[in-house]
Amino acid sequence: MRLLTHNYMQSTVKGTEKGYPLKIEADKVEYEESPFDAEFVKALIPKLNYEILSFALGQIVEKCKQDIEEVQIPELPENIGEDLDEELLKKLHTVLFDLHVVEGHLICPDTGRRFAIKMGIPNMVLHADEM
Amino acid sequence: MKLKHLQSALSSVPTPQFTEPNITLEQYATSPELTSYIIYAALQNEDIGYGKSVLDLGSGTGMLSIGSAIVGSSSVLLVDCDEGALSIAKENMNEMGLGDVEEVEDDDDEFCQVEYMLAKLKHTPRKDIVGTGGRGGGKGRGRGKGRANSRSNGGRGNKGAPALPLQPPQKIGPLDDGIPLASNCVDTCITNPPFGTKPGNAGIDITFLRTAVRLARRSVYSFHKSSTREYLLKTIESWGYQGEVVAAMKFDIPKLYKFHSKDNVDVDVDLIRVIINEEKEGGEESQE
Repeated sequence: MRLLTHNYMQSTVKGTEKGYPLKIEADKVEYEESPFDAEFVKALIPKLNYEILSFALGQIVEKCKQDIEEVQIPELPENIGEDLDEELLKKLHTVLFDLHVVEGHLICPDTGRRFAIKMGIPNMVLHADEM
Repeated sequence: MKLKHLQSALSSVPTPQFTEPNITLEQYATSPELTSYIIYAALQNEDIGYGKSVLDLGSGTGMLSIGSAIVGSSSVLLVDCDEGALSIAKENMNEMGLGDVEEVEDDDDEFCQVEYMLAKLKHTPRKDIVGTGGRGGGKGRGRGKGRANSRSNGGRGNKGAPALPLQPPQKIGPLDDGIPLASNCVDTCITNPPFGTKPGNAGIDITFLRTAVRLARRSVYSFHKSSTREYLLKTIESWGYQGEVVAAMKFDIPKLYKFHSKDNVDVDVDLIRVIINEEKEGGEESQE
């Protein structure tokens, strides 16, 4: 699961008011370098919730530092404006696409419901009585 | 990319796709031919391809996602409720070398960020939909029900009024449908929904479509039985959007289940496109 995906996710379990951002408990993270496309990242920024992205990175950064040796885990600025230089776009690319939560849990901030992430796939399927 | 090239690329997706199809989920693999039509149409409308994010709702074994990735969409998210299907989809994707960084040879190669998610749509069977309910497939029966359906609409009151006034998608709370994703989170949503032919599934294709409309900010592509066309277009209109029939075709459903008496069942299906926002990339897009 990429942090881009996390950015759009919310819990829909019964009793949820807002349902996001989901907390992340990362048990295993991986880094996989994908081709950097400045234009695509640039076009993506206005569609993101930057606050949630920073939050998500904060949730997994310690685990990333432990598990990932290939790259230095980028630090994101508190805010981003309109003008994004290449260096920042690359950092955003890494955070959005190249860090993968492979094993762990997503946790609903309202109800505490835990959603398992296995082999990179979050299982958000609810039981009938949770809908 | 030409249509025939797309078709031949899709034909190389490994089969059989479902070894143990789940009947209640109405799992049928989308044929390469059908897939190539939807992908080609979406590509021509610039709804998928380079720079576009695509969500495949009820992705099954991933045919529509594979098609979207082949034509260079920048990201594809596969959402399905069946773990088995999703892992076949993942295998198929890998087999095709899609979303695989190892396959990238130079910086100019288009790369597709592929992501998977298990989630299940919340569906309340619709007793009021006569048209899509029933016990079996087959086109004769489907047509008959289509007629029954329009009769019941007529009896409801005003001609031309939507058969079932549904809330516009803006008002569909994201917490309502069981899909844990924010509204308007992707450019284009494509779906080959269950047609709702199994008991308890009545109207499920409309549930899929409504969620697809909620998730897309640009366009939705979906397959539906041609027999429900009129009802479907009215329903889309009642949501405040315009639906169009992109193509009418035959859906060749192979004999996968015991209840299929014939070897294959041909069902008339429409490829429907719902336009959410046609702004070209870089323009102002609505953000909910």
